[in-house]
Amino acid sequence: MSRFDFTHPPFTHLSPNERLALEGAADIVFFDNDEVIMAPGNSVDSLYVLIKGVVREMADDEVLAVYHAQDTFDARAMVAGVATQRFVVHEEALAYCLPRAVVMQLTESNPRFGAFFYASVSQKFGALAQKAGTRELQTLLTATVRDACSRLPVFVDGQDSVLDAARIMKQRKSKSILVRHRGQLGMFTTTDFRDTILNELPPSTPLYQVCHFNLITTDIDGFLFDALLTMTQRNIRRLVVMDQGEPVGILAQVDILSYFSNHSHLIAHKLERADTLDELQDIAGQITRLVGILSSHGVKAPQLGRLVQALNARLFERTWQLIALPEVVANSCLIVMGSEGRGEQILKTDQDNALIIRDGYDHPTIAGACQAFSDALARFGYPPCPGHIMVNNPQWCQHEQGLRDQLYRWLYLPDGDALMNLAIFVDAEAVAGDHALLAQGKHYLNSLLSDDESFYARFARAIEQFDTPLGFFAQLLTREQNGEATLDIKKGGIFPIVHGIRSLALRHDIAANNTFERLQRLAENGHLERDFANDIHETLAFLLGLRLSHGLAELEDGRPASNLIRPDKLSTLEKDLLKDALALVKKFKSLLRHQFRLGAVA
Amino acid sequence: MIGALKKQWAAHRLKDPRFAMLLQEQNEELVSIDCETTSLNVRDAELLSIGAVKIRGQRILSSESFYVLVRPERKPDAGSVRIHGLRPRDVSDGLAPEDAITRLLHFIGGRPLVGYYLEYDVAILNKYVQPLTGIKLPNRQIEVSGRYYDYKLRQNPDSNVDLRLATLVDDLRVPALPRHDALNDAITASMLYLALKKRGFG
Repeated sequence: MSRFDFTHPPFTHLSPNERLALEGAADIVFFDNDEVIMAPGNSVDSLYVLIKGVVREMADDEVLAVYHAQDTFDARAMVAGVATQRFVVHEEALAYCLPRAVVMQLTESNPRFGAFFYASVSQKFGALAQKAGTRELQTLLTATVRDACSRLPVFVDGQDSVLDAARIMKQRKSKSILVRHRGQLGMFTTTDFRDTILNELPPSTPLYQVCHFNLITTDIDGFLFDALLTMTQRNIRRLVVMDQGEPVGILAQVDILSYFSNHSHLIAHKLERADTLDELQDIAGQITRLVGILSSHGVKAPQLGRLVQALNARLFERTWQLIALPEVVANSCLIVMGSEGRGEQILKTDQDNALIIRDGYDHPTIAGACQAFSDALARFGYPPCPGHIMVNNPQWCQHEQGLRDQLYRWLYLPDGDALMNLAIFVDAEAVAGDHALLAQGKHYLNSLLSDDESFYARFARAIEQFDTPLGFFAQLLTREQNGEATLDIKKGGIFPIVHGIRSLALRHDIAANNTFERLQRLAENGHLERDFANDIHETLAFLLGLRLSHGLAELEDGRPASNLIRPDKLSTLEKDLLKDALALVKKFKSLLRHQFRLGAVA
Repeated sequence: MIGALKKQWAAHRLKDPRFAMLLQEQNEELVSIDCETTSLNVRDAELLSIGAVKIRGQRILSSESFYVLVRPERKPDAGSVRIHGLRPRDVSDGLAPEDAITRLLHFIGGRPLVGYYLEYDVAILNKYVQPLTGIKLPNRQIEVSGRYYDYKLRQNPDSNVDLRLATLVDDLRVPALPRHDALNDAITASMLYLALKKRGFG
């Protein structure tokens, strides 16, 4: 008789009994429109799970997040016991109200739930604190034990009895204590305590007889992921933290899990150590799951894009190293292009890649390796590119000279796909081999580009290919597809922005690949107004986020991720935001038309 | 005036001082209630299960809900088993009716009752309450379908109002819980009540 829906994270990690307990403790609360559920400074004693309705999280007038049915809020406020943001009802909301004590109890008794739950908390911190940048990657590389270790050790003497230990553990709420005995250091944990009872030892047994002296330690300035790795390898849950030879704390696994927002550090680490394509395939699947987890905890699309780009780049590099001979790798440059090169491909939508081979070098295995690489990527879940822009296509697997000839032809003897191919190459990013080969290719392209305004106009003109689906009275224009009204968010919104910014970047010789970075640089150099650049940034971030959440839902249903969204499934707020976004796309297009004098191009 | 008289009369008829709390009105909370029975005919029907939940302000206190199975004297007939899913063997471990009612009355106290077609549930309960206490349930009753009727009529004075539960659930946009479980139905009625209260028909 379950009323509570447990099919969404983090509740999926609960056992049936835990679910019953949670359900038994839950109240149902009804909130009216515009009611404030919590405001900064309010004390918070429960976690809310929306059953119906929509709730906005606000910082002053800015909407930070929108919560729908099944969403949980606000883990951070609940843990802290006090709210830092305002939560306002946007549309009559009915919510389960889970008491703080019960949720906290579950995070302790069920480590998986706890890890997931704290991940969401630290995720929230990150997403709010750092709106830009690759925070996630930084934490994974730079976090040290010092950052996560907060448990002060409790010391007892080796002559103290098990009974004393039990008292102290209860008093200090500690699950492990350190034992000093004749200059040695040992540890006594609740597990050891259990064993003393099983072995029928009297409570007066001195601790030095039952504790462990072979402690596994970590240095307080050591990297956190090394500590986690040690735990994983040795199958233990606690490490003693040492500072200059002195024990200063205890690091528990749950501390690490709660510190790290997710498992991306492990994915990166595994990538480095993978030795077979099967292992890599496994990791590729984990990347998609990671995106789902992070996205469900409020990490925004631009940051996710950069994180996935970094992981994908390492995945591709490792794959290429496994497939191609070392000398082939050294004498070529594997590049990714298009959205992957820009760091905006969050879900696996296609593979745009190419190989540049050093002039004068050849090896009979290259063609076979390229084919194997494309096949491997397809196996990892990256669908083959519909335009066949992949290393197994000879057009995209060339010597430097061949590439230069091709760039020349695309510029001066353009055929149908030339400008699109050029656009894709402009976004290229090297992932493996000799990165200089790509740099030289791009340098050559720049030297070909002259002040020929008509070229930039022809290049930018692709933004006119698709109409922006926003009608005269700001209604969303949809198309019927299988009886459902749909809207192509890529053609209608994302592509015009991305290509427009790419055109401007090419025109003004800006080397960055990522659209957000290009925007930043364009604004810095005065080619775009700062405010307008910010608006475009917000708009693109919103559109990418919308596409991501739709794509994740499609993947969950077992369909491939597409660019089609169904406006009738959006909340009122999202629909309004979408309209605003498309209006801005229209405005941007007219600015481009003016800048590139598109009206004048035949 | 009349209310006070009625109350005095009831107090006079009350057999058992254990139930005096029924007459002390407690208006800061409500109790939403629903019963599953062996038949839809009040005369033959026997209790099978009772679900009840308190409402305080905007909060449905599902964490302190009340749910009991009741052992009927006769076996539930096959037709009703199909609806509520309580087979004879499911209720054979249930409480004796007097025991269940005593517990329920302590749960309700003097709080007003809320329900969907509450009249029926109250009539069934009174079959057990009266012999036990000497009085019928004295609590104020809030009929969700009646409030809904008023709400629809205000919106659209000449219309026929569809009072089926599914219509209310749909129109007031509350989540559809699995039906014909006494506690779920009581929670559904509370959600309907809160939605109506928000619209000014509480």
